[in-house]
Amino acid sequence: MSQSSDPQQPDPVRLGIISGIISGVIAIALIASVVGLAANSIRDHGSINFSRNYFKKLPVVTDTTEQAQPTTDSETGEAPAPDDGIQRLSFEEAHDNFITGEEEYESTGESIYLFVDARVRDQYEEGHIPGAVWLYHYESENLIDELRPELELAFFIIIYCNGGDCEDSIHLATDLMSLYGLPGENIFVYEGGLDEWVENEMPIVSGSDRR
Amino acid sequence: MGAIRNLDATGLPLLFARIIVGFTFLYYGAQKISDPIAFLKSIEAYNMLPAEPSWIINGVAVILPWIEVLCAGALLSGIQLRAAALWTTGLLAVFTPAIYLLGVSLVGTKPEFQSLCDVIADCGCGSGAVPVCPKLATNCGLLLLSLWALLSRSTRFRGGLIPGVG
Repeated sequence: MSQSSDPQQPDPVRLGIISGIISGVIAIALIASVVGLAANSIRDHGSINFSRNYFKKLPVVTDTTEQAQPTTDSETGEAPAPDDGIQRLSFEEAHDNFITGEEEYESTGESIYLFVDARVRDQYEEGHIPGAVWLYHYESENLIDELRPELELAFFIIIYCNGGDCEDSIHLATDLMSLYGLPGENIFVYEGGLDEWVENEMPIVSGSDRR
Repeated sequence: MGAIRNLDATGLPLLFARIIVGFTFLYYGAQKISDPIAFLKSIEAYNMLPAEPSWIINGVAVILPWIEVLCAGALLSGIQLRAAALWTTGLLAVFTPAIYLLGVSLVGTKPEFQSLCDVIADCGCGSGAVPVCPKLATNCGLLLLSLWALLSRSTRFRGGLIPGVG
């Protein structure tokens, strides 16, 4: 009696290959998960906190008050700033705040103007705005406690990163308000960032010292 | 089809695919592992994953680079070769259109970005900011090689490329 293969029945060899591939795919995912989580937990710097939303956005509130209006007006011909609840400063405003803050610091040793550098440590040490504190957005939970007294005393917290496509200053401003409870009216983002600051031949300081 | 089968039977295209895809994924995976936050920012720029719940996008940033490195190891060692090729094919099939869409979204955002091929962007591939068009061409080539490694029936060059492994 001869056996004939039923074309409706799946080929067992092929099925074996497919199930082998699927188990391999799952094994790779599982091993990568275990190794990745272990590596993330023992990393000194740059580890990712799974429970933290690093890209939080503030709920958009329609407000017609003068303070809520974007700093770039239609007279300049520039596009208005996004309505995301973050106050933005132009170069001229950042410059004026810097000059006033430095004068205040020189005469009293304190200032209500505080520049905050949201970039990585290496970039801060390569060059930062004089007087700026380092508060890297992605490690802010480890740095905030030390800086909190100074942040709470400042009336103008001016956050910057590199400018251009960099959005870390926006993300840090959002977290300072929503995660760390600092008053939103004191928080400003200088969107031009260090690139624009340097282009305008403003002073910078290199190294870990603030000034 | 006959010519392709004959070429496949030599095992040389499979060998070529394993070496090129394997070392490419090893390099880019290692780059991402060295700076997971830069990779996290790149993933966020694609707007493919939701920011909440945060463990999804954060988990991808932590685990995906290790999948790439493991796939590289599997392709080079010959252990779970087809499973690794399926992973690399899937990743390239997802990220290549995503890079295209990212590039399209950036056209006109800067004066120098007049067309897709003018756009320079960080695709999150581990290579930093690169011109989008050459990156798309490279990815299409890698996708073809991954598919070849996945579908090849050659019995030659299936073992380890590193002596004593696989």
